[in-house]
Amino acid sequence: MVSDDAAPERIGELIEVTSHALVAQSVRLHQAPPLGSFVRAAGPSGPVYAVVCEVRTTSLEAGGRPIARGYADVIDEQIYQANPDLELVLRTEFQALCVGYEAADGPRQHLPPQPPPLHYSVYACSPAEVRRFVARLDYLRALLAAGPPLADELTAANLRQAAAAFGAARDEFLVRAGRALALLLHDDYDRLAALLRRLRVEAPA
Amino acid sequence: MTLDLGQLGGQIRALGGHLAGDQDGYQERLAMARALLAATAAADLAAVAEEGAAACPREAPATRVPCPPLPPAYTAMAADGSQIEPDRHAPALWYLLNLGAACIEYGPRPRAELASEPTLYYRREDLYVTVGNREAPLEGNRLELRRHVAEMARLADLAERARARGAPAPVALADGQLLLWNHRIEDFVRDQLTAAFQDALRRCIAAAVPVAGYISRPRATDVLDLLRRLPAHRATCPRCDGAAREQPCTLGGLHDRALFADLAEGERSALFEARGLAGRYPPELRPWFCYLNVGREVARLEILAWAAERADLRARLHAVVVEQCRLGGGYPVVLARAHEQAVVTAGDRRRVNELVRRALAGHGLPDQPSAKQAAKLARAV
Repeated sequence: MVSDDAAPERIGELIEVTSHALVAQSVRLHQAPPLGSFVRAAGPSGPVYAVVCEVRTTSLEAGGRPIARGYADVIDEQIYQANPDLELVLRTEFQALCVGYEAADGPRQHLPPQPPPLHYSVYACSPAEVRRFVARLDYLRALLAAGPPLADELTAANLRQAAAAFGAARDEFLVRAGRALALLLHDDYDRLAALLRRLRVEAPA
Repeated sequence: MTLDLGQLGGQIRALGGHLAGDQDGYQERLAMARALLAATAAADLAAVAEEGAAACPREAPATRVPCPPLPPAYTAMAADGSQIEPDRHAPALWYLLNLGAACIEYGPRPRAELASEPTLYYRREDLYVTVGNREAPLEGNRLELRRHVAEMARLADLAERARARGAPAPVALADGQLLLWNHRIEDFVRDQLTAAFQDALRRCIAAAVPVAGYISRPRATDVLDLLRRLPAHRATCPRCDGAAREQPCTLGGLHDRALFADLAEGERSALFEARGLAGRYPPELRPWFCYLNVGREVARLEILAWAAERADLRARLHAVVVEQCRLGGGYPVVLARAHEQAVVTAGDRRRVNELVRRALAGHGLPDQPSAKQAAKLARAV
């Protein structure tokens, strides 16, 4: 098992919420949670779980347009060293699809009755939280329905991220996830096979 | 009814055609002005400056100074502001100043700080300038000057903090002139604001931070006005020698920035001391100015005399402003950042108005605008 010692890290603040998706601004520039990872948004009526589906870095000012700033040897990280103000005028934000919430009797794998409030914090889910949430895999149906071609990329990324929370029991989880996918995609072998390849799991014969 | 753009089309095309044409031998007159500047000794120009001109040369008029080397580490600071004007049609009289500040340190330990600071003014002493029994409301031009004073005070705060933490090679930039200037304002108002403005400048000097005002696309004609006073010009210009008073001056309609448009990139012109209103400032607080090719345009830099007189500080300002313009795509990035912090949008204005209205209603005070403003808002048909 992966260690669960670390305190939950506040990684973002909600700047847009709907019933099915959250947008958060990263606490630090260029430090968004990985694609497909589980995040938890705090809320007065309990945590909402979501899967990161898009990350973008843009100007903090509405309408501000980043321009190329490199010259000579000043490229990549040196551009930030040479323009210390950039860190303060750019922002990284990430979008996450809501996949469940914490009810009194444990996690539910459907949309929360209310989205969390704007400006509340977003945390990366700890490995223990991930293991607890993926005890059921009903939420995969929502991910697969997110719309091609992103849906399959997102689903595969999510399962790889979730598998990492299982440490040595990783393969056991992936087999369970593969079975769940096979049930969901029983009428589309090609899609299932492509998805499983992204999990590096052999397609069933 | 919105603006009828269809009716404007022909006039806009005519405007383009007019500007494309050579207006009254513009290029030839410009060449004449440049030749005159190059041929004139500083002493001759200084002599005519004594007759009440707005500028006096501090270096040989034809001086061209290439961009000095940039310090390996430097600190650029800027303050800028914007305001919400008092509205006599609003339910309460108040105004807002929003001051933006930027402090960016370049070099081996890069860091940046951006901040904005809004302040609401509503007390009687905030709303009026009062000296003895004379009183004038702070609005329009007076409020513009009041804001300029607040910006300079903010810049002095930044300078003092930079000094306290030992920031490397500090430079402070203001947006616009380094002088409180406006002719449509009463002397007693300007004198009171000028005292506060000069206090801020003195704080910058005490912090050993050179200050300059940066003016993009300057419209000043101070150097051209000096040239027009020269006997060499007066002898050849039909208007200025009195032969044909109805004709325009051969150097009329030109700007200093065009006169110095032949500066190479990074180069600055000679330094001139500002006179006129600046003559009322103590010598060390008077602005000196030069024109500077920053790449995309020729800008005017007004440097506090205290810094302009010191070779190391004026070289630092010159190098830093050119570099800041390079980083900012033609305009000093630190000023652009301060400006972004200061901006108050139309939406912000509406929100502040609404919050004030609610605060009044919460105290049971009348919260309705004047009948005129109410009619404008309703746009009833």
